[in-house]
Amino acid sequence: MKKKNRKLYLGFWLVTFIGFTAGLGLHLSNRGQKPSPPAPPTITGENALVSLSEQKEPSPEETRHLPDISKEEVAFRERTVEALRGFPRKDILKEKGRDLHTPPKELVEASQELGIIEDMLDKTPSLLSEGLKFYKECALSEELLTPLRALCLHNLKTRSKRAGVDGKVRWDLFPQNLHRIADKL
Amino acid sequence: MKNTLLIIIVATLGLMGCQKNNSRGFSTLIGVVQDGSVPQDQRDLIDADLKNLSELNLGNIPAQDLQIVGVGSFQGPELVNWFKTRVRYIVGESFDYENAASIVGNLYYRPQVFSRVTPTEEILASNSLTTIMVNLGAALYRYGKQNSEILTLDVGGQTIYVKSPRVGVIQIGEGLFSAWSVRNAPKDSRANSLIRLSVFFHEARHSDGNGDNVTFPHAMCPDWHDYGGNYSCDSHLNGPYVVDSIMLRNLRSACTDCSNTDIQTFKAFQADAESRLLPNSVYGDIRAEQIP
Repeated sequence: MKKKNRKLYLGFWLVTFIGFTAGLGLHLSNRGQKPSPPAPPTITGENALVSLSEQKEPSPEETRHLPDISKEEVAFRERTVEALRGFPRKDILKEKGRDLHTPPKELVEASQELGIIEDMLDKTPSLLSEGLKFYKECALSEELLTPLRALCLHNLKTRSKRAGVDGKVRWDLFPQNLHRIADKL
Repeated sequence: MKNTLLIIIVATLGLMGCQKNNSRGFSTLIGVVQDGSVPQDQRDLIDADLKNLSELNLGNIPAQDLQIVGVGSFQGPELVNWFKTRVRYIVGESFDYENAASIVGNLYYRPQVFSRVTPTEEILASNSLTTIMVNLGAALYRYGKQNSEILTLDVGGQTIYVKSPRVGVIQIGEGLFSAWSVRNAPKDSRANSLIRLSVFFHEARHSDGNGDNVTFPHAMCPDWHDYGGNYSCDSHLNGPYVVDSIMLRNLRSACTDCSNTDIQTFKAFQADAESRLLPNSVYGDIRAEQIP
């Protein structure tokens, strides 16, 4: 009787061990596999997904509600791109018949444009980032008149300092002579 | 009756003959004489500019600025005094200096102590373009010295001897009121008046100096410079362009109601002046020489 009980006892533990080992193996083999993507939810109403082929051009009413840059920013960008395109280059000074004792008239005209840009920055503080970008690009444009570049650098310094972001500007990108002139203004 | 008419005609012709260069003079508020060749509208604006100068009351001027200009303060009376030492007559664009100048004697000193550059022709050549402002007195002084001649000039109803760069005859032209101004701003705006004054101070520095740096001539700009190859730079730390720059910066503070465009124009003019100062510049002696 004792012998029979011992056999049953050993058999029980053997079955338990085999069962546990098989379960563990199954679990470990499943861990290496990527989970399959969930089935797409079925969405209806306003949030329904539309395939690319089904998309239409948004109507003007819809466009107005899109979270895009403001009208002021668009106008400012256009203005600054145009300004940079029209700003006087150094080569104008090679034209014959110029009185080089006095500042070129194109510089005076450019300063008028800068005055308008300063007005826009004063009126709309959210344009600051665009403004700093513009002044930086102007100051780095080697083909522009040096006094104009220096004035742009001066405006970049003034505006960035006032906004407390002057520490984020890489001032070493600008030539020393430009810094000297800008700091005198 | 016939005789009276004849007398009137003869007298008129005689007066016309005497009126060389339309030389009637008009004294301004501060005592600078404006020649009859200055058109009435320009004369009125200059009168107002010099009145503005006399009323300036600027504080907190950096000591270095005062030292470079050579003035104790930026108070009206002090600036007027400085100005009148260097600018005595203002003539218009039509003023014929060749007709108004006469050689009245020879110089007896060694002309070789004179400056190494000869900008007289260059200064006078700039006259052929749209005139903004020229220190005619300084240019004539240099001419006389180089040619060992003493000149006189008929200006403002007087005959003056050109025996020093401080003879102080400044020629102005329409360019001073159009090209050298804030765009779309009236000629008599505060900003334009102050900008014109800075040009006067630039020219006034040409009335200074002795020996090699008499009249503080402009230096040749090097090739790398925007104005490379032209006598449009300064090699003196207290030269005309530096004085110009100092005046523009400080006068700007007197323009309390200036717009952003006004301010940017002030700064553009100043940046241009500053850009003309060459590296390794030195201070020049501002004491003016004088032929005994």
